[in-house]
Amino acid sequence: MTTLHNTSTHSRPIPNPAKSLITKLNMGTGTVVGILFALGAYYALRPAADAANFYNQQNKALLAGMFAWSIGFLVGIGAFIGPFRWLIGKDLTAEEQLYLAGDGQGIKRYFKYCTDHKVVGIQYLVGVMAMLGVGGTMAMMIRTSLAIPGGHFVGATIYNSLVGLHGITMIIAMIIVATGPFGNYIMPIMIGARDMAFPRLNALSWWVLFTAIPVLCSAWFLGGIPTGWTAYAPLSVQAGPGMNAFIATIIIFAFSTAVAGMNITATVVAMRAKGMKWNRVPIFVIGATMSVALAIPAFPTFMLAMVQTATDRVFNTGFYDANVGGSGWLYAHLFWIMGHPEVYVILLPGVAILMEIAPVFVRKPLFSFNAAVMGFAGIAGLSVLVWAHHMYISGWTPTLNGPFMVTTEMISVPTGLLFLVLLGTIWRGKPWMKLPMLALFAVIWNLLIGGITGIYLSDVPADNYLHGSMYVTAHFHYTLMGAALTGAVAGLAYWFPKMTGRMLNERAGYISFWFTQIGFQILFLGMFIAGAEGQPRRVVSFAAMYKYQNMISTGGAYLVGTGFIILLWAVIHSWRKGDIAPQNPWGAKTLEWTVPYPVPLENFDELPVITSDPYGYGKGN
Amino acid sequence: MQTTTSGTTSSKRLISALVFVVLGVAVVGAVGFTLHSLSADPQKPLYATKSSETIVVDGKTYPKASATLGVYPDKATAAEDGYKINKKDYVQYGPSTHLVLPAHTYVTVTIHAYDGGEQLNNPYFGKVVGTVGGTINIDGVDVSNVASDNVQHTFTLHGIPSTSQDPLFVNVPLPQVKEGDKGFLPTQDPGTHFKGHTVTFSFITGGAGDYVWNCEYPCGDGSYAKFGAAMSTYGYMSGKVTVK
Repeated sequence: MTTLHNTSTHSRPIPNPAKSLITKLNMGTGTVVGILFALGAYYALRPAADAANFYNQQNKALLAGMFAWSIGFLVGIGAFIGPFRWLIGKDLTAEEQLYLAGDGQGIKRYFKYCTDHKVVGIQYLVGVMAMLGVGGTMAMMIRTSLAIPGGHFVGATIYNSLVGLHGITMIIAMIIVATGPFGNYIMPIMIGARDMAFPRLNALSWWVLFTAIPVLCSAWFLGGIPTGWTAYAPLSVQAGPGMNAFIATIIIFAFSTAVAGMNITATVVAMRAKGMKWNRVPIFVIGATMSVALAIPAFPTFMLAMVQTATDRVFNTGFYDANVGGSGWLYAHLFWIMGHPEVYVILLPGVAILMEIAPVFVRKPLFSFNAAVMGFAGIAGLSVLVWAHHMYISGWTPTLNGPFMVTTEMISVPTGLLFLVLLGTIWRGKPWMKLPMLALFAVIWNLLIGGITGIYLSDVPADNYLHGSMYVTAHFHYTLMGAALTGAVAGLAYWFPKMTGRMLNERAGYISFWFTQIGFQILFLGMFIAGAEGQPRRVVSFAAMYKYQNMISTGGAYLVGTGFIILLWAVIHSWRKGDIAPQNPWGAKTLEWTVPYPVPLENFDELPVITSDPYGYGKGN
Repeated sequence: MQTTTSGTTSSKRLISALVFVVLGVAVVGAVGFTLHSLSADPQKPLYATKSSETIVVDGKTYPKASATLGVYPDKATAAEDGYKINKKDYVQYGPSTHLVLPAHTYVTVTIHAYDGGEQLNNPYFGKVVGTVGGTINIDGVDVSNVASDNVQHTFTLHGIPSTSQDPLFVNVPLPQVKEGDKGFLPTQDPGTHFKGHTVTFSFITGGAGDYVWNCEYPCGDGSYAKFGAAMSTYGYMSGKVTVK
């Protein structure tokens, strides 16, 4: 919620919000203005069919159209009204700011430029679920196509696009899966704040991200993305018009994450409740803040890589073209300088959620808060020094393979601290085996498998054999899906009562859990075997010797898909008709459980004062 | 019947969950079958014509079969040969890029080639590989190699990696139609396409299997270093061979 001005000193009459422009703008007006902007930009720059440099001009027109859509949508939904009014000296009135915060607007506020952090959290939650649904559907297509050798359920061109679009859709969804919904809805309440530090930027981060979704979808209608999500140059420079959608998506998304990252960091640094010293900050907040702080330097490099790809495609600048002095390695570096920290951007909040959950469900204090913080900090620090392990076999400076192997393997140490904290917390406890706790055990197993298999990939000789194989695919799915996504599902089950006022259907949650976790093991253990035997990833055809491994993997994928459909039902059904949740169903001690549902606009009647850490179970406080 | 605090009976809940799962599976299935149909082969397969004759090669007797293809610079030229297939105006093979050949057979393929060209990326594909005798016949002359700057397209047949089917690799370079050579003469009148080159070659199929073939001369549009459009769209400069 934005800070309200003292209106009694206002020299101008206060306009009635009902007549103000902001009351008339919403997702619909944004879409209309966005489409008009996009069409205008595209047709202004559209090349003639016989233009000499037709492909350069076509790329320019398409990129301009996509960025114009994004800007137009933001204009149409009213994102710039606040800054514009400030610029002309007519800042928003108190009533208008209250309106922007969604006060008294019911469900309509979810379709508006709403500054309430709780609304933004729900927008992220629904958006993430939609993205995971789309990405998951594409995963099912991929696995169906790989069910039998030469199955070719979809053609090779469509398969290539499926692999690329599944990858980037899931990466985007996973980056925001925890910090988006929970970082926005729960975190400000957890630290005792009335809202985020910059509520308008908070809304901006969501709606900017929203504009990237249709842009990414447009790739399907522009010939697809043939490069995989890594978009390696020079293939991405040479690729057809669908590649423009990928480029625009990444640039828009990087802007969104930068805004969100700065906002979350500023909120945690500046807006904690009185008495909430750093060692009293809930561990989820620490993990989420480390994650977004890590994203702040990481994503601009990806954005830069995409800007250079765009200029290569539009202006023939040749950043990545060896013929004119460019280098494909430059792209690989820029990509992986983002790419490896990015997996920790995804992983840290998921693990932090589990650390938040573990003390609650075993009724014990968190085992070594300091070790947890050191683990997060160690991972965040080391993760920016490991990127070139993705380039061992690229031929780039082989003498640096050794140092990068060392830094990569060193990251096992802070990761081990996180395991230690989780295991130490549940050690000799009596777990209350609710869905969040089940997920915790699943993550411990999955992250163990993902971590151990990662050590082989960090090892130069082993990586020479395993790189580019299904083994790699299985490894990173164990960490990203098995650990981070399962952690996020745990967070959903844990905070669902606070975000919706209802309990998540427990039986459906259990059924979904066992379907997804059993299916997951079948799916990716089969893939490990195929990969270790040499099956290459991203290839539509495979040799008959991998027949059974792939058949097993596809069977596992169907179980996972069924499990997630059940979870989706549980969420929708529980949200509409679930049992009414008490204010603090888990008996937790963090601040979000001290406020009622619906959470008041400014969260607290009186800002809390913190006198102890939030994990004092068994200490009598 | 158990009733929850919000008034939903457990049987209603179970039914709604089952319906939801069925709907979810249906949505995913519908997406899948849409993509499947989009990527389905729009062409009818071209079946090789079997002959009653046999031939002895390396002491083994094989039945004979034959097939005829054309390779055209555009859709209109293909239509002049009667190949009115619903294809884009790309360089293309016709009448179909899906060949069905009999197993363990001496197959003779005739390709009428009407296009020009520039330079192969990889001179290897200028060599004849996998044909009977290691040669192809171009307008009546047997050759085992075409200069890499004189190739218009290639017919390069690979196997899908598999241990369960016989290997089959055939590479046939097709010479360019150039001004001044005999392939440049008009067939009927100046308004029609040129006579082109007639390239004939034979190879022996093994057991049943699925194979893919493609042109190795980058003849697509300006994207993907000329590997876009015709080169990256199934059914133009690539296809499959089913041996059965």
